[in-house]
This record gives sequence, C-alpha cells and structure tokens, in this order.
Amino acid sequence: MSPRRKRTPAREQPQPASGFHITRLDRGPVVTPEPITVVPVPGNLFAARFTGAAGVLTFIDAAGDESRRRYPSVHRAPDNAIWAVVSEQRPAHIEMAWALGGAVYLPDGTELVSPRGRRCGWADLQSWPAVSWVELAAYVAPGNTATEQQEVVVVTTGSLARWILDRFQSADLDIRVASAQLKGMFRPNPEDWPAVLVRVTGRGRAVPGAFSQALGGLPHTVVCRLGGGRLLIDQRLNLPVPDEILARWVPTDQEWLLAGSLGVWQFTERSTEYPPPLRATPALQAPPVPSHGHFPPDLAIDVTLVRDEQRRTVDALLLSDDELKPLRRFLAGHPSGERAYLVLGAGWHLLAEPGRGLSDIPFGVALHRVGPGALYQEVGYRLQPALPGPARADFFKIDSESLVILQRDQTHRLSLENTVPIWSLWLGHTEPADSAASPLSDSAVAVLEQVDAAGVRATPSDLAAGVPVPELADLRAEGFLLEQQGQLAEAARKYWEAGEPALAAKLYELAAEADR
Amino acid sequence: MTAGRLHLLEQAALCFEQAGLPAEAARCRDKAGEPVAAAELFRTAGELTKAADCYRRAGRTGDAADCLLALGRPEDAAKLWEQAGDPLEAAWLLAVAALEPQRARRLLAGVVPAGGGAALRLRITTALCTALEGRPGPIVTVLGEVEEGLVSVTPASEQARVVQWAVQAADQISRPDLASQVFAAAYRCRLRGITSRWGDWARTALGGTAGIPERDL
Repeated sequence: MSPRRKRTPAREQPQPASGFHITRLDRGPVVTPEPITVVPVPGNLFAARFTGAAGVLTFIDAAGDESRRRYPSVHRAPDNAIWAVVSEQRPAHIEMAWALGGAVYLPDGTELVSPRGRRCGWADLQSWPAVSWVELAAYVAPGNTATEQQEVVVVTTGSLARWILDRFQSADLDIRVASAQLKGMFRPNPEDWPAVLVRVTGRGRAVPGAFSQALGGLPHTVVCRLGGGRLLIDQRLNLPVPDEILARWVPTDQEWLLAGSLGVWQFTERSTEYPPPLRATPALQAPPVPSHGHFPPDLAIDVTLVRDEQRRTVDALLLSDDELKPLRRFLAGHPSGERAYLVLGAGWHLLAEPGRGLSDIPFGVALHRVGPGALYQEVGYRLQPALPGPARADFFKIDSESLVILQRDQTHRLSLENTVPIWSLWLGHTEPADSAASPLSDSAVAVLEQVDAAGVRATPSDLAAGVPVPELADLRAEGFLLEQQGQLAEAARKYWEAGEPALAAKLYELAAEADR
Repeated sequence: MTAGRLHLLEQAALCFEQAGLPAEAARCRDKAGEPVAAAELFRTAGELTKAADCYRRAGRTGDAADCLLALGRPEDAAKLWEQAGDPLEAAWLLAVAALEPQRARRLLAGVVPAGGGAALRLRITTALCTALEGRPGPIVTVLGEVEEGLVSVTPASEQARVVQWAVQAADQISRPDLASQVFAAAYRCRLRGITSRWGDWARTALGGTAGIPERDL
C-alpha cells in the first residue's frame, strides 16, 4: 500500500490547531469515504501503450510464447489507445515495444509509470475491455502480392459475382456460389452487407495469382484464404500471427471475415453452395467494321515512388547547397576527391564517380541509376506502377542532355552541360595563370650570360614532367558524360583513351551486363 | 549470349589485364564462357582456388589438381580425379601427397590398368602404399622393374608419367640412387627432355648435376 493513500483520510478530519472548535450542527451520519480497493501492480510485468493498432499484433507475437500459450493481454483505453500487458519483464521485449511505436510503462506501487512520468492506474487498466486480435489484424495494411492457395473464397456483391462467373467459368477452376449475410464488427454502428460468396477451387493445383489479382481491385470484393476454418482472411494480408492462432478468437459457433481495408465482418446467414448454371448465349452476328482505335479517356494513372526493400547499388548522391561545404571538408584527402564529378543544378547537385564506384560518403540522398539514360531514383524506393525502360524514357522525358532524378516527393532535372570535376569545390574562382614568368634577378641574368657565352645552356630537364595533359582530362570528362547518357561502351572507349584501363574495363563489363 | 556481349566482355578482360588486374580479367573471361583462359589468369593472380574451379569446369582435371596440390589440398585434388573417373591418379595423390596409404588402397581395389604404363603406375602406387606402412622392400623391386620395362611403354607421354611417378616414389622413401637409375633408363629410352628434368631433380635432390648428361641421346 502506498504511503500517499494512507495519508488521505487523515487530511479530511484536521485536528484543531488553535483554541477554536467548530461543533457540527448537522448531526447526520458521517459519510466515510468508500474504502478504495488498492491492488499493487505485480512487480515483474510491464505494459506498452500503442496509439495505433498496427504495431500491436507484431508486438504480441514477439512477446508471446506459443509453446505455453502465454500471450500479452490487450486492452483498449477510453482514449482509444491500445495497451498490451506482458507478464514478464524481459529487456528484449521492452526494446521491441519501443521499436514498434509503443510507450513502455513500468510498475510503481499501484500504478504504471512511463519514462516521461505519465501514470496509469493498474485497476483502471484491468477494467478496460479486452481487444480481439482479429480487430487488431484489421489495422494491418494489405500488401500487393498474395501466395497462391488451393482454394479461395471471394466475398462480393451480386452483380460483381455475375461478372466473376462469366469471366472465369471457362477457366480451369471449380466455382460454387452461395448467398451470405454479413454484419460489421468492432464498429459503433454496425452495417449489414448482403453478399455473395464464390468459392473457387483450382482443380488439383493452386488458384492462379492472376485470378486473385484481377479480383483484388474490384470494389466491395475480398479474395480470402481459409485461415484456420472459421476465419476468412483477405489473401493479401501478411499477418505477424499465424492464421490458426488468430482463428482461435472466433467463437466456435460463428464465422468471421477479416477483409483487410473493409474491416471485420461476421456471417449471420449462409446458404448452401450451388454450382453456377451454364448460360445459353444468343445467336452470334458478324462484328461491325472497326473504327479508329483509341484509348478510353479515363486511363490516366499516377506514377509514384513507393518504399521498397530490394537492395540496390548506390550510383550517385544528391546533394543540397548546404551539403557542399561539409562534403568539401570530407573529401579532402579522400580518393573520391580525385575522381568524382559534380553535375550542378539549381539548389540540388548530383555527385557521381566514373564507373559508378561511389565510395561511402555520409552525405546527401543515395541514388540508384535505373536508366535509360541518366535517370536516377532514390535508393529504397521503386516506381509504382513499374514502368519498362522505354516507358520511363517517354514519361520522364529523358534526353541526352539532361539528368533526371526521382525522389520520394519531387523530381529534379539537371543539365549535363553543368558538369564539373569535384575539385572545383576547393578552387572556387581561379584566374588564368600569367604565362610570362617573373623577371629574373640581376645575378641570375649574369649567370645566364656567362652560360650562353660558353654555349652550354642545358635543355629543360624533366622537372616539369607529369603535368596533366588537358586532352586526357577532357577525354575523361567526355567519358563521364557518355556514361551518364547510358552509352557505356563508348564511355569505356573514352576512358581507355584517357589512360584509365581499369575504369574502361569496368564500364565494358557493365555494358556487357546491360546487353544480357 | 549475344556476340555483342562476348565482345564487350573480351574488351573488359583486355582492359583489366592492361590495368594489371588479372583476377578481374579472369572474372570477365569466365563470364564470357572461357574457363581455361580464366583459369590461367586466376593462376597468374595467385587465386588458385578459383583457378582450380575453372579448370575443373573446363574438364582439365590435371591442371585443377595441380592448383589444389599447390594450395596444399591433396585430398581435394584426389577427389577431383575420382570424380573424373581416374581412381589410379586419385590413389596416387592420396599416397604420395596426402600420405594416406589406407585410403589409397581402398581406391586401388577396383582399378583395372588400361595398358603397360598404367600397370606399372598401379604397381608403383601399391608398392608406395606398402612402403608408407613401413615395408620398403616392394618399392625397390618395382622400381627395378620400371627400369627394365620402360622401353616397352608407349606412348612417350605415358613413359614420362611413369618416370615422374617412379622418381617421386623414390624420393618418398629417400632413395635418390633408385631415382637416378630410373632417369638413366629413361635417358636410354631416348625420352625427350629427360636430361633437363634429370638436372632439375639432381640440383634439388643431390645438390649438383655432376655426371648427368648435358643433352638427350
């Protein structure tokens, strides 16, 4: 029992400090406060408060123990936050809770307290309603792909079911239809959904992915896998908890539908399943003469960059103006400082090395060259929808003079004409060298006169050897530009002519890979 | 693979060689489907494991085994010969380089020699196994037989192989006199290039080439 609670009743009947004493006129019964049942928090547990439901399911699976069937209990607070209570304090689980976006509360007397000093009563927490895992799973966003299943169930509306039957009856699939009545769950105002159930079985093989893909985009339609019998789960949902364990949350006499973005539904009625009858079609007629072909007008589509986990090489870096200064300091003495080029733009600049060998530089946005030509995109993303090379060239207006960069929320176009060697960062503005050497001193002139009289003036030695030939530097820069334009073999030839066989070889190899 | 790709890979390999990067050049050659050229470049670069792998894929078991021997992996070399269907060579490497007479014997059990040279080599190997187990008697006898039977062995490459094995076996039991006798017999058989090999052997084994003929007969 905490000392604070003990003191509370004493404060309500203060002892007179002076000689005054007030006699109560109201002789009614003294209302004593109801004794608060104080339950201390068991010392070895901890709780995690999640503001969003998305990470909770993952946390439950990470902190749970399937062999002993011990999982964290989950409660919903009045402010809609989700609390997961884990009965054992393990540092790894605590770290995991933080990683998944939870705030960890540790026991302190009768309360739980967060590192920021927020408190929550243990008795309150226990009184909050438990949350079904199926409801949590409804917050997991469906992915794009689904593994192929032997049997899927499509829940859809009547007219779309008609379309599905017409479209796929001839395919190598067994189709059964049933009517169903569904009722929304875990919502303040549950709706009804009169639906049609289409059960599709691949005859001895999996239902093709193209089928699920085709149906996945329809409105009010869910393609489900049979997750542990009583629970139908949207096929595209990739859940942290196995389907069978999730299905334990469905009461034995019920059947539920976990429909991804459409929420959770319960089947209230379900008819028997019928094979769809074959339909006779009217007599065929010759088609009319074709008119001029054109696309329907509403085909326009937005091209976006979405997160992608595929590993890609870093071929260039995108730098802002502010990053050029630290880059200059970093590159002093770095091997990149001798090789790299900078393509200057308005506020944004691209740093690339010939042969795409960009060393580790901790600045800027890492870019991957996707081609064709000088088309770069931020590493860690991919185009959605995926565009083939010619489509990318057309869509992003790739030409041989410019360099196009796709970032998460913006695109840049730099002109390849503004390419400078990286060491220009150090130089700043330079003045052309004064070709006339400084005048000789008197004594030096005297020495020269004597030497000339004897006719033994030496030919210039190799003191001045090693001055870089400007043509070679130009060849190298030309090679870099060709490389950016995607003409790898030609770039390799330039590098070779510039006396860099290793670089040339690397580009020839890249060209060979591109030629595959 | 297109002709253009082959040409580009060839260019890449040439440039890498020019840049003094034989290992990279070898990688390109290998990609271009030239494992022998790749293996030789890998060998130049000192990457013997990769060289052995390329030789193996090109079907050059002897070169692959040489690379593995140079790496000090005679058992792997023996395995290569075994996979290539030559248990006699495998057993020989197990005996002379890995010094494992029991395993060598197990391989020798099913060997049927294909000719006179192979029969001699089989006897050398068996006798060497016996010698490694502590009884050097048979190997001395077999080396005497080699001295006499070498004339009838054909072709010359097989003769050279028999000589090589016999000399290695003699070295193994520290009997340079027997090795010299084998060399002398090969010299009498007019085996080409034998004097230079004899000289090389003598320089390391005896410390000089006194008394060894300068030219082939």
